[in-house]
Amino acid sequence: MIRNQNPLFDSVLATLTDRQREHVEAAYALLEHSREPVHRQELHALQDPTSRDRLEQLLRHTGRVLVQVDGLRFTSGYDDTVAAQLTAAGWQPLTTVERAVLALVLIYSVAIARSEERLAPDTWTSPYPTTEADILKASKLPAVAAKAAASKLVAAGLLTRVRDRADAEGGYVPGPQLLRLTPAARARLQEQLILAAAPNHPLAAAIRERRNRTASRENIR
Amino acid sequence: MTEIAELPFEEHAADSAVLALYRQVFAVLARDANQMVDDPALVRVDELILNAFASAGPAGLTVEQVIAACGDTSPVAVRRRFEVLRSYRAVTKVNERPNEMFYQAAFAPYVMLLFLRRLAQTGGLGELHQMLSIARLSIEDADTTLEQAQAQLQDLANVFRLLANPIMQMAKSGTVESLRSSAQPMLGNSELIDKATVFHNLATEKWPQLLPECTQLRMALAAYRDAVNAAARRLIDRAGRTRALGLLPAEKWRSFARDATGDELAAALDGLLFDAPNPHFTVDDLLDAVEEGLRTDTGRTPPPRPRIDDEPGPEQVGADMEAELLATRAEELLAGRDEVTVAELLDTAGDWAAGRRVLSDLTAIGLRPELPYLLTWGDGLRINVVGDLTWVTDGWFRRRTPAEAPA
Amino acid sequence: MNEHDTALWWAKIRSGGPQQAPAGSPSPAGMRRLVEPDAQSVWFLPNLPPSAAPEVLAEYRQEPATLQDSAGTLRVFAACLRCCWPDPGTDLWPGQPADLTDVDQVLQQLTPGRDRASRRKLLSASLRRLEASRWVLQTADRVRLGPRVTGWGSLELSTLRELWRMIPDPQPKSDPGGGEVP
Repeated sequence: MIRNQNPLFDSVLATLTDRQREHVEAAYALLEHSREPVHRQELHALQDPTSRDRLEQLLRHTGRVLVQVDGLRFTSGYDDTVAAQLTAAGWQPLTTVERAVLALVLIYSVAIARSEERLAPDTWTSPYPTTEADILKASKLPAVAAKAAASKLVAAGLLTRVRDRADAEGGYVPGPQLLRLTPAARARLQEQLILAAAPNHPLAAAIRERRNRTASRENIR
Repeated sequence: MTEIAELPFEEHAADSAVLALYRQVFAVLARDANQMVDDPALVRVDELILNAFASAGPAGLTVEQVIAACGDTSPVAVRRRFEVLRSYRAVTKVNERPNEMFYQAAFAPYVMLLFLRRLAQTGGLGELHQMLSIARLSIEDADTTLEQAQAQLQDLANVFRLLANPIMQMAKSGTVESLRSSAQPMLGNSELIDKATVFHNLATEKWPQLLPECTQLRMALAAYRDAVNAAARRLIDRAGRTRALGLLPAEKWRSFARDATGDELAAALDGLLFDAPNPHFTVDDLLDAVEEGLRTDTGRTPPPRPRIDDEPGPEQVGADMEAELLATRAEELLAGRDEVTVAELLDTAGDWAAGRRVLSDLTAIGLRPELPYLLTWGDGLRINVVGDLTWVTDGWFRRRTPAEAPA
Repeated sequence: MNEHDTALWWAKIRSGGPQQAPAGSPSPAGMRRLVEPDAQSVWFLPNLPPSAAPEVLAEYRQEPATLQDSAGTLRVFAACLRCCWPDPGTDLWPGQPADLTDVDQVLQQLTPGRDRASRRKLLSASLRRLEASRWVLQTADRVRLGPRVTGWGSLELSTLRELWRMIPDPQPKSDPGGGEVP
């Protein structure tokens, strides 16, 4: 079992000093494996332009990009073109019920909270739990499958289980994984939810029109 | 007298009736004669006055009775509003004679108040929906004249133009904030356009001679639709990554969450990829878990408490779970020792309530032969009148030796 | 395989876990290639240098993704290790499949507080979790080690051998319920 040789890492990091290489590899590990986004002061590779460039190259070679969560914290996410290509080819590891449960939590915890002006920051996280009843009883999803899906989504960090002090039933909020979405993926998620929930609304028409504009621009290019 | 001679008089009479009603209706909006009201409290006083007249019956009310009926409102304010209403003839004497003390109110101003309140709540869209419903009914009504239909078409065309103009203005040059704040009612109106289109189509069929008016309405509708779309486009372009979600009303989201199929919900995540579960643990974590498990076999260290994601089965919640909890509690009480006196446990428990809990836990543990602990009682009695616990019996709580294991 | 296809493979494994491919498939750069015992297919999984692996997180006091009910799940995994690795002198992968009843018997030694039903529950929930990240692979009533076990280096393997010796044999017992006292 050869463990220490990785041609991909070697080719990207070859010209770096030992110290730079150590910083880039550590930053890669922190960005890719941390449960939560990482504070920039832990990411020494970001301080030096060469190291930062190699870090971004390394991520790109593995289908990833650097994602800035806020002014101070970073994480990594899927390269938009890679995700688009894989999903267009039918690659979607989450089952329909798993995606449906995640969508429900995003609706109850984020979309409704936003319509009711309870959320300020422009992110896919929220302190407002979606209750188990919202998912298992008030939806059209089969309860047993939905419960198993929720537990898998918790394991993947897409949902976080919360337990309200007053409410023994508990619920779910969007998990730290959602912070890994790139700006384009976040915008896409917003658009898809609006298209799904209100296909006849003027906003949905505006979204479709914008997508057509982008698509025709890309065709010309 | 010819018919021709009658007309101007009838017209004049109709005009003055309209004018009188107009004056009455707008009395509630007049601050003083010839001045608009700009304080909602004044409208509230008008409402109180009109309410008082409604309850009064046909005899009417004197000014003093009106003031009394308006309760806490300052008599000066009531008197002032009363005079304004009177000057616009919204309130009139029951009998036109010099010494008449009793007044009565017209109904139109009250209707206007109701209308204004609804308008304030819905921005006039509710009224517009009703107007469209009435217009639609009038097409099917055989008594509707060509002139009435013509007037309705023109009215509606004007309404939609007036609606479209400010939206378009905001979409082009207003601040995004102003656009966003009026987005929910403004954009959620596709029904309005649908309703107006139905009316337009029926009207063209029934009155082909009104083609110019129908065209005007169609153009007004198109302008409205353009304005709404331009506003939606601007909002979406400037909405960030989640803010556009707030442009749909919460009820829309709720009904989607309730009624959508799994496929429809899942479609919202089309084109997105997320990470597979990839939990990390070290070989040492593995070693710790195993060592702890093996140790539990002999030493009965507390088994792990179930976590909320542990999906406990019903049987786990039952007897066995309780045994685990009691074993945990026993180890807490022994705190590494093999034997401890009940008195000592009660002393360290602190207050009476905690002491009682210790006693009830000890008893529960003692009643479980499968747990390797023994509780024995002596017959001595310790009196302590100053402490919280006034008596403590002699008792010992200890670990059972293998030889003492129950058969 | 070009850079773009390599990136696609990495993203595929990141989102779907270690992937199985037909035996002849070319290896994406930086991936470990594991041939299945029947030589019909191969597994691909990232071969990260230790300095870019999750172990680094501890130095920076960052939390990695953790197992749910980790103590219970790890005991189940240890029981699988004991049963699927018949000779600790050999490599861990591919090991050999074991019956779930054997795994359950070993688990009984590691979780003495639990009754039979609760242990079964722990076993099935833990196996589901472990399989989701390919620490184990499951067929109807058998289990084997998953490709992820190949990530351990020689130092870790010696600890695992120690662990193996610590865990009692999966020998048939007269009391299959275990832990229960009338």
